[in-house]
Amino acid sequence: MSAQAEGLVVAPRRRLRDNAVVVALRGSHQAIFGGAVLSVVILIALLAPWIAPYGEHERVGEVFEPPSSAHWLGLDDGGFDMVSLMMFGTRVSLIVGFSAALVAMLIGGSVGIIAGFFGGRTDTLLMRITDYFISIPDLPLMIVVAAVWGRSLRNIILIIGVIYWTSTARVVRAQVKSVRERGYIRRTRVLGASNMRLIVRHVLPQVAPLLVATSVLMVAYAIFAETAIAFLGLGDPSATSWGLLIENAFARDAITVGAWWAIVPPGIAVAIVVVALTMLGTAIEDALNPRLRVSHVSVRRFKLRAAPPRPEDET
Amino acid sequence: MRSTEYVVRRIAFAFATIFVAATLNFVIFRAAPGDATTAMRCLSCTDEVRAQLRQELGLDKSKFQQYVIYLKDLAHGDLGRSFQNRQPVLPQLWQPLKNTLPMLLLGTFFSILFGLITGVVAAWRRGTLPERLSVWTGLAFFSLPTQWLGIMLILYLADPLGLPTNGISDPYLSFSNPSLWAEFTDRLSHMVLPSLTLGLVLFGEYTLITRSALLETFGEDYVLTARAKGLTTWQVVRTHAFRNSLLPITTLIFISLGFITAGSILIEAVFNYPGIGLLTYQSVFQKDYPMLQGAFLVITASVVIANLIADLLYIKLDPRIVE
Amino acid sequence: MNARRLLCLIALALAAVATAAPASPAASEKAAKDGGIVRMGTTEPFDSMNPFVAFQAISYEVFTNVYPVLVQYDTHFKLIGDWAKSWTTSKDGLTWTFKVKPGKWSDGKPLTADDAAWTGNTILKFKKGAAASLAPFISHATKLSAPDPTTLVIKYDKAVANVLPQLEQFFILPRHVWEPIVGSAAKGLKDYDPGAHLPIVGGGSFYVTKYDKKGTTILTRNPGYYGTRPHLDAVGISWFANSDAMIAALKSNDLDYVDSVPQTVATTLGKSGDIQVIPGPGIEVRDFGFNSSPKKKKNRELLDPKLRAALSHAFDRKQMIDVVWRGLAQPRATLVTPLSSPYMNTKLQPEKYDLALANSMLDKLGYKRGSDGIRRTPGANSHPMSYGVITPTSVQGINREFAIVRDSFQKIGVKLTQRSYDATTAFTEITKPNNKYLDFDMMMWDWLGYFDPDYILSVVGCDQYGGWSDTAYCNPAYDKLYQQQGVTLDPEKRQQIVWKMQEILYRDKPYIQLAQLKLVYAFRNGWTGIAPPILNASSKLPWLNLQKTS
Repeated sequence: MSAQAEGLVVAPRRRLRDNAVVVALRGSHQAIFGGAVLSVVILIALLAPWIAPYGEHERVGEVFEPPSSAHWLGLDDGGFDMVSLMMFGTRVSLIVGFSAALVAMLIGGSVGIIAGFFGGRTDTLLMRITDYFISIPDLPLMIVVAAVWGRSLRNIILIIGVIYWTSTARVVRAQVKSVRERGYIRRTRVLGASNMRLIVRHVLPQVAPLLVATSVLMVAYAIFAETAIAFLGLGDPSATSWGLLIENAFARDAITVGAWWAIVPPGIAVAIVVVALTMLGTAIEDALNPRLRVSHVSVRRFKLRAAPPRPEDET
Repeated sequence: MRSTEYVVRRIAFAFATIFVAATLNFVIFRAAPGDATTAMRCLSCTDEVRAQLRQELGLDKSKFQQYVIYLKDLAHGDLGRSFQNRQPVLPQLWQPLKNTLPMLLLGTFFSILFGLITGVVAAWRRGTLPERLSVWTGLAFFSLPTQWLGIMLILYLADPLGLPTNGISDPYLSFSNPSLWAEFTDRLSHMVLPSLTLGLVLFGEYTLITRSALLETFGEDYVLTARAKGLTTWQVVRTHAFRNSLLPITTLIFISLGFITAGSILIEAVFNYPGIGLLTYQSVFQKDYPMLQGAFLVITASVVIANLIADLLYIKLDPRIVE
Repeated sequence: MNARRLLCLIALALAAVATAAPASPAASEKAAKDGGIVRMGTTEPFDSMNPFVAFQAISYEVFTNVYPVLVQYDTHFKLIGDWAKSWTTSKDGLTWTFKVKPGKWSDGKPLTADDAAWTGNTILKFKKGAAASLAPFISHATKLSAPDPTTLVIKYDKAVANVLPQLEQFFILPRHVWEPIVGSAAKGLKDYDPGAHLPIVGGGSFYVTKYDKKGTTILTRNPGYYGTRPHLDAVGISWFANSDAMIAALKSNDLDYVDSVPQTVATTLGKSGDIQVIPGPGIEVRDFGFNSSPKKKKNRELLDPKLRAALSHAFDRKQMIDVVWRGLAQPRATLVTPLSSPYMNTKLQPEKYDLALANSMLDKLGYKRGSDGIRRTPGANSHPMSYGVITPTSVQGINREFAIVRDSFQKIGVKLTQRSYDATTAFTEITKPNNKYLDFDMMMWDWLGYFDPDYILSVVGCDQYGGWSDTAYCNPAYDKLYQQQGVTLDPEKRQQIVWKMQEILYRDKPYIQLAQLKLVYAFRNGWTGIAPPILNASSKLPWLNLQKTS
């Protein structure tokens, strides 16, 4: 039975449009820019097979052919069209990004919720484990695990997700702790509601927006991590991602040949998407609760990627 | 929890983490299928040789036995011998570490420099386009793939500036009997591009700190008082703003050192810079477990220690952190 | 941040920079300007200067030049004397007598046949132990002796056909240096690091005076060398982690010579005019392999030679040579290359690339296409023809190679998926479980043989499970022929046997050989006496003949 039906507790319900978060977002330049870029990229990813000028595996010329009117960004080290590869690359990059973020969210979110909700020794134990994970340098760990499990897309996603869950866990835990102390939770508990129901019906909705915001940031980190992994030769060679494009070019001596068109576009694409996602994610976090000092700014846990600098921070 | 208690706990935790990491090292690396003797394909690599090698390297023992030996050696400060050249691991780690650290320091210097410049611009021109640009360039550089940024520098900066793009020094310099100065400039020139890459990636954080420190100062009453006393704005800014930002920047430096010892893998791979990152990367594929475990331990230890120092400094910055 | 702190940081940085020194002691070397030094760049990694420990090619390159060897290859890949000026064989082929030239080790001590006898007997004594990796070069030898300082006698237990090719890698060590290290039981022999005790005493044309496996290793001319005096005073070998950096160093005149230029760079590099790029003979042959273990569990249709024959028409060697190797490779049909001539079977031709033919052969064999375009095996338990191909990341350009094969196979209705691992893991995946080869379907790798075909013919032997075999091919008839050619002293008869062996492999197709790669190398202008780097590890001639002209 829902708490509402019980008539005792009324969780605030409002129309999404009037939700304070959404209102704040609509006014934020960052959110709009971030959202717009993301939409364009997703659109390209979905429509790639139809809008790409050439096939993903279609050899159209010589290795490292320079840009021409037929091929605006020239050809890569296999004789494939760069523009098409860039478009197809959005698919893999986004898939890796979103999937890895999902894995990180599931693990981190669960850990955070359990730690925050139950507190006490469970909390301490989980946080110890989290802290150990944070201290271990992530890139060497990724290298080793990729070497062990082999290079496939599935493994890359798992690796990134498993290594990045820690920041989510901490953030979620903090939020859950504060939610747990709220009045209506206490009252519901007194009435005998089970922990599971409390978590699902009351804690989760409160934490969900934060999870969303952190997910967005996580996608940015994941896309970034994927390029690092691909560069070290650990990416899936059959999955054309932007990271793989950079690595292929580098490994086949694009620098010496001077084939900048094989290297520059993927890097810029990654940066644009990561910036957009970062802006969107931090804008959501700001809109959620301006007082919530979720300190992304530098001085906490720095891993392969620090939390990115936020333009609006510390004003 | 009082401050001292926190400090003690924090230090104990750091040690525990290093130990756990050392164990994890062992477990993860040896979980990989095959070992250093598996894929040897050469005329002298007969079956007998491989079997014998396996025995010499202790790879024929059970994983648990290997773990026990590993811990015992570790307790004696012995990191074992490299599978590649049979020489002790620890001395072979020092040089790469000594190579990486100056590069990191120079990189941090660059990031502070760029951060200062952009931070000052941002604070001075508050609310206008230059401010946004200053702050967002930090974010933009941060979001570019690190290795890509290094490659860009090689492609477009190396030739114009006449900078080398590979290694740590000119190997044939010693033939011309160089002066100390010549050797120094040679080392420095090899360090510039890798450090510059690092600096560009990380300066965004410093921008924000500088900017906020300056803004804080501008809003303070004592500025008015000081000016009334005859000091220029610049003098006030210099004393107070910089003092405000001192601690955050120092804390950030330590965190950065911890981070980039690990993150240097990408930069060192691009520039072929013989540091601890490159060593780690290469040891993985050679399945040189002792070397890899040693490198990993060093990296983990530096991350942990750097974070420890940063945390302890951070208490000074914000005592409320002590829960 | 105040200025003082900034200065402190700078000072720290300076101090740290000044201590970031190269790994080995900086013995300041001054090469005489008239002899000169050649600055060579390589991406081959050094492992050790201890011959009992080292396996890497570049280490062997150094050994070949710093230690006396009885014979070496000349620029036509024929064996001639190095330290030995002549040799005779007994009638039964069991005793070889060598007359060697007088010379001195780099520390001035005399070089005599006794050093060789001691080295050989030591290796034999510890061949099951510390000296195992050097044993293959005097396999079947039983005793070495030096009746006088310029005569070496080697006794064998079998009349072996490739004694000389083996001896080409039999490095003779200075007894006065190594005997104390070996001791009586060779304990700790492998822990000895010659690189830490410079200069390393050598008796060849050069000796090691500086060793830095991550940097530059210097070999200086040995004044006591028994052969013609080298033109150069020293050879410098600089290691680079990636070829881009190495090529950049060559272009900016920080290097004189690069022993391996990536094919993608070869054409553009030569354009600058001050660098000559030479596509030289290479020994690397790329291959595609089928799991030939009769006990393999899944996809047993791949064991059928008729199916393999059909699939063999889907390998577009021309496109591979064009895209992956930029034209710098030759199509091949067998493991043996022209460098081993006359042992390469020239009657065998690479299987023709003909997708229509492949398709019709597959149709005739009963592999019908499913609705998704992928063929299915005929009969009961019909399953789609979808296979994994193991590829090691250590092989350059393997991803492009695979992609071309994958796309061709797709056109004949067979689906291939890449399984990419590092070399060690890849080999484990091939041999699992426990060297029984029950699991994998296909793989792509390469072989680097030697000039004498004995080694490369041995890699598909039944006794190579868990050894060199990456296809689990086992054919007793083939093995018998292998044993036979090993003791056939008449070169013509031996050639016939070796040709027959290649025919068998061509018929059974454990491998589909793809191409033999050229080894492209580059020299800056101003050098003469250049020899292809493929000889560097098999002869002293390349570094002996090299001479500066400008």
